[in-house]
Amino acid sequence: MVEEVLVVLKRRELPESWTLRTFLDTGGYQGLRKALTEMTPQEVIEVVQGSGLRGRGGAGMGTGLKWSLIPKDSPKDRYVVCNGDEGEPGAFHDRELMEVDPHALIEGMLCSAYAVGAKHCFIYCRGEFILAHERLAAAIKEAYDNNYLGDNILGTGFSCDMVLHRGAGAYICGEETALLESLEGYRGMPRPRPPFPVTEGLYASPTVVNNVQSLQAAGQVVLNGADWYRRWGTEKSPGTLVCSVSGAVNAPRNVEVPLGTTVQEVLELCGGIDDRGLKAFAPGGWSTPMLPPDKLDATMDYEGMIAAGSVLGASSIIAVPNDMCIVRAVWRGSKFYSHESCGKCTPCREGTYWVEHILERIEHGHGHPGDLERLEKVNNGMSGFKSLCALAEFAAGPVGSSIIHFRHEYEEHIRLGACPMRTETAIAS
Amino acid sequence: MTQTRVLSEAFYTRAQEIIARYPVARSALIMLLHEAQDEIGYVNDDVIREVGRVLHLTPADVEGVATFYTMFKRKHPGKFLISLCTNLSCTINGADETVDALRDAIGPPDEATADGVCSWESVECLATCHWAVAAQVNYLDVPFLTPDRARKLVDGLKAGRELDALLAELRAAKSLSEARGG
Repeated sequence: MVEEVLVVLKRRELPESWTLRTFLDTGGYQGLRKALTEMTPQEVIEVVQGSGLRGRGGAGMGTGLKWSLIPKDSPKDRYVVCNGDEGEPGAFHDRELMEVDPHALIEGMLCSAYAVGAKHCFIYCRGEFILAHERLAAAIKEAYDNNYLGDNILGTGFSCDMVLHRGAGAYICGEETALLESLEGYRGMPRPRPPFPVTEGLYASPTVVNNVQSLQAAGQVVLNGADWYRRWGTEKSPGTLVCSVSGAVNAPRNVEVPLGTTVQEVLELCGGIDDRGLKAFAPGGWSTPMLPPDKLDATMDYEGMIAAGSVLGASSIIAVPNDMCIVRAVWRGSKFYSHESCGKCTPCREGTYWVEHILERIEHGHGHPGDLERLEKVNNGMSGFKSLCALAEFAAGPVGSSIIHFRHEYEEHIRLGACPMRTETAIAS
Repeated sequence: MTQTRVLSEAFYTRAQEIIARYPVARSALIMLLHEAQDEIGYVNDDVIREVGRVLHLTPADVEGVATFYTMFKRKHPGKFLISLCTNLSCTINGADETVDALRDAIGPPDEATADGVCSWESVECLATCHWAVAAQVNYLDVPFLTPDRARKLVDGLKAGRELDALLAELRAAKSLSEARGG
């Protein structure tokens, strides 16, 4: 049986893991010290690039590559922003990472700030995460009190400030340009790209936006080197990955494994599928195309998931049990996307509305002949990157993939004029 | 012209501290709305006007932002707001039954009880899917909110029990099966 490899979760079992004392006793801030005293900013970028660390927020862009794109000759201030607005259905790793090891996040952000020449860092923490917010606030205060933040950090001449910002309930703010709009005090609606945040991000200035896990891993890469991180994972997807596992499993939790571990192995670490049995699973959060059980040997890495017909996304496996109606599951998901669509782009605003309503009538036994084709047409109209951000793609993924793998369930609903799996119970809107 | 303020002096002092953290004052808007809501209980027209005045923004501008975010309430929720996740992992593990239990115990969603003690809402993923059916009370996490435990929670709140004590009891369960058994 595969075993966990705890890199970013290495302090999860330590008492008061979130305190500066525990952090320092277990090698904390050694990466920052090394960066500031032994390395040039360029060397910091190079070691992170060399490690092959890729963004864990969903897009999978090289973390070091992103840092390298910050213009070195810009007269503007530069910023480092941590995306801690985790809201992908099924994902709960960034929340645990912020609660367990807030100082590791501060350290990773400071390494990034030093590398790109930023003097201001912002942590955008999801509004509902009270415990994470408290621990981050306490950790930032400890860091200021002990000269890991503020002026002349560790006597090296490097100065940097950090602000903890609180979201207020909007899934779209996990999208980096919407997050920046929100951080500037506006409605969280995505911006056109280009310009990309690395050249015109926060306050139209060069900005690194990285995910929690990516930043925490980067701090350890700076300390231990690129080859150390490449001991795990695959050639193109090196390192370790925290997977959130929930749904129809016996022991739902976060597990950290080398990239390239199979879905089956990850599920076994969570006690396996429960006695309801597995009908399908979403490998990267609900927004990633679902896969049938014969894809359990697919590997949790960027390339493996594409080969299997899905994407790694937020590496969050939702196991759908046999007793769950697929139409109903996809309908519930569709309510989420229509609620969270910011309304800026027509394919997403209109598409998510119509997908939800067509699915609702099919599930409730009012489907018309031709509805399945209509659903596919609307779904295809949403996908293909026709909007400013990927929310419409996310909405389309479960619909399209469920029609591929479970077309018979849709057809049966329309033919019977009822959901074959349940008596009707309204879901609260 | 001066108008009566509804927000406290402490709010105004804190607002200036928060604004000073940001290179651009407007970035503090969401933080100030949180502070004001914590004090008043919801984001009413006075809050919109006063927060706008602090940041030199029009009420329409502030309202446009406030209404984008689900945590900002334009009408008063109950003293205890129960937020129940009904997204996929929680629906798979029985959120529908908890919805029914809360409807019976409190009434329709987003409406406070007549005594103002409780309200409940259906929310999207709370990032505690390992605790499905996941919920929060005033944004404090409650794991495994089965129908029985939901009734126990609401009864306790209505009876005036301390929230901390209720949460401690509910958090004692370590798995969904344990929560169902208890």
